[in-house]
Amino acid sequence: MLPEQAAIMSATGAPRFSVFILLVAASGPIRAWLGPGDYELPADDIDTTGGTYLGIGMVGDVPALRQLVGGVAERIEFSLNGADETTFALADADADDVRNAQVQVGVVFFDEDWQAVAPVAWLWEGVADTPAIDRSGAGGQITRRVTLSVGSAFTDRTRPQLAFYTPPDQKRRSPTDTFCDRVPAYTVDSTIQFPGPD
Amino acid sequence: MDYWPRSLFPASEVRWFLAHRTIQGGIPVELGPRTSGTSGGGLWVCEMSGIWLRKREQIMAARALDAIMDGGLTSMVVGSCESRFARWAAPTEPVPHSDGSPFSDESFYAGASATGTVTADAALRATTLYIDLPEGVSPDVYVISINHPIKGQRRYQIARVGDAGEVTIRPPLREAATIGTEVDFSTGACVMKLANAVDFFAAIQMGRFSNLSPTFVEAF
Repeated sequence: MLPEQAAIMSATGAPRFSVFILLVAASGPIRAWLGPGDYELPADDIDTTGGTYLGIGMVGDVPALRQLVGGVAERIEFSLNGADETTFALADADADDVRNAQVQVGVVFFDEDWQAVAPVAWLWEGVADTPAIDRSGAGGQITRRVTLSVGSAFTDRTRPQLAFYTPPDQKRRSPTDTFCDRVPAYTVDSTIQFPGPD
Repeated sequence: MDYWPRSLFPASEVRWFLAHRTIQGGIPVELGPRTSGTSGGGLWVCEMSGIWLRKREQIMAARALDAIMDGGLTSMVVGSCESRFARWAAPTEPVPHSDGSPFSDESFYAGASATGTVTADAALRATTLYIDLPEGVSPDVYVISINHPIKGQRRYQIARVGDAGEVTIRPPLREAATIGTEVDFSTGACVMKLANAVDFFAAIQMGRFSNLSPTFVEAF
């Protein structure tokens, strides 16, 4: 996270914030934020033109995001329950427009009067898959849901994933490299002999 | 855009509130529970109940409204009688004498000017407004509404009153307001959609009586 936003977060406890999503589709950027009404964001390094972020209300949800640190590259799903016709049209007819689009997730911290105290902090970047639509429920109450699966920058089906820093994994990528050879000795299961073998 | 006919459907209980979404992140040892709000200032919700339908025209109008609202797809302007609180503001409907008759020139009672004006430009999502009230009116924590050019009627609650016409409002402005924009103190109107279209209209009992209990949420 950017130092400025990190300082604000620790100073205020972040009592007011909201999440912003930028999806760079083939036909143009789609901007949304998890609040009601419109929100104007100026241009920055990520959203180079800036623009109006459309409030998708309080029905949207963003799953927990993790940065890839010595783990499996993650794929997360954004869900929007009770989406309107515009969203469904985008998810259904314009699915190709969304596939492989770049997705950015950012956060803005607000002060007591709901005014932004710092520029948006873009925290996570991913690549969108094709959106999916499903219906659930019975009787008069049917919930429609749009789901967009987004992989992080490390997700790629054509490339073996380096999941752990173990010697076999490292050898698979660089056969002659011995950098990870002693990693097994660092686990809690390993037994260290003392005095060591001659 | 259609208006919810408040006088035809007087509700015995009306609850307006700003819906927020908060997240509570456990209880740290030294600080106590911390709550974070992620809703960007809230969304208006209006719950009405006790709208008793006793007359033929009420039942017929309710059926027509049910059709117009298309199960909650169509937006409608919903208001509240704020001239009860801002007593100087004009009533939203003509007020006759107690026997129902108007003055001899067919006019009705009217309050003072119902509207104020914005005296300084306010950006989208601003929470501080400068309002010019009609002369002789004391500033107070009224409910106001502004008819925005694009977003239509939007309701705001004055939360704090400052000096020189400064007021703090919630939720943040839905659209930028320029100098001279009219501020309505009588209607508390807001563009909303029906949230409980399935069960807001109770069954008609004995072919005559029914009741409504609609819940509206702010629409965009």
